Amino acid sequence: MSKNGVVLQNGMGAFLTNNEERLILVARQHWFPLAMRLAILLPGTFLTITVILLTFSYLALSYKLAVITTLVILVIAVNLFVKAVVDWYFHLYIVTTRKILEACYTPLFSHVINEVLLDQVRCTEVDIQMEGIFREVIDMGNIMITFDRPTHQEEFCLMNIRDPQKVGILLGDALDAMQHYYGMPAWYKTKGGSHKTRFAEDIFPQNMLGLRGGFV
Amino acid sequence: MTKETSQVIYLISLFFFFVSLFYAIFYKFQVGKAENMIGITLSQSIKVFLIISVLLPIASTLIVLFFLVFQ
Repeated sequence: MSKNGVVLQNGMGAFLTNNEERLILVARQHWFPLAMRLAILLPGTFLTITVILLTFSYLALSYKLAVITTLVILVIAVNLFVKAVVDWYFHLYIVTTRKILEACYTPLFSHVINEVLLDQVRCTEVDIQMEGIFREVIDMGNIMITFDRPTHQEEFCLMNIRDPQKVGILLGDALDAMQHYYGMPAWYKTKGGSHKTRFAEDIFPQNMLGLRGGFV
Repeated sequence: MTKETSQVIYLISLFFFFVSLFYAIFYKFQVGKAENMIGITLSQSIKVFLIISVLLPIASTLIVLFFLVFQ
C-alpha cells in the first residue's frame, strides 16, 4: 500500500534484521518518471496501430493480417506497460534505525539491493536537490546523504523522491539521533563550547584491539 | 498473397504469441516472488494489467488459430 509516494509500513518486516530495529522511512520514486515512460509508450502504440491500419487499407491487404499485426503490437505494448509499472513499484528506498537501503527489483531482469549499515559509517551531510521549475512545481527532487567511512567518503542518493524537503529533514533528524545512539567519534566539534574540538574517548590501544574491558 | 505465404505468417505470429504467453506467465510468477521477497503486494489495478498481459496472448493465439483453420 502507498500514500503520496511514501509506502505504508505494514509488511516491510523482510528488511528488519532484529527486534530492536524500527522502520523510519519507506519511499518509492515520484510518479513523474513513470508517467514520462507511459507518455511515450501509450501514444506511440496508438500511433503505430493507426499507421498500420491505414497502410493495410491503402494497400488493400488482407484484414486478417491487419488484425494479427495489431494484436502483436498490443501484446508488446501491454508487456512494456506492465514492466514499467512493476519496475517503478518495486523500486524502494528504506531507512531503518540500523541501515539505509535501496531495493530495486525488476522481475526476470535484475535484482539490486544497496545497503549501508549506519553503525559502520558516520553521516556528514544530508543534501536536498530540486533543480528546475518543473521539479519545484511537482515537488520532486533528490536527497544525497554523504557518509564518511574509515577509508573514503561515499554518497547514497535517493533519486526523484516526492516531497524531498520533508523527507530530507526527517532523514537528517533520524540520522543525527542514530549518530548519538551508536556513539560519537573520538573527536568532535562542540556547538557552544570554547574548544574547537572535544575529546570523547581513547581509541588506542584497547578499542583498536577490541579489549575495552581490559587485557585478557 | 498466396495461401502458403499467409500460412507462414500465421505460424510466425502463433510462435510469437506462444513466446509472449510464456513470458507473461513467467513474469507473473517472478512478480509473486518479488512480492514475497520485498514484503509488499501489488495493488489490484496493477494485478489487472498483469492478468491482461497473460490473457491477451491467449486470445490472440485463438484468433490466429481461427484464421488458420478457416482461411
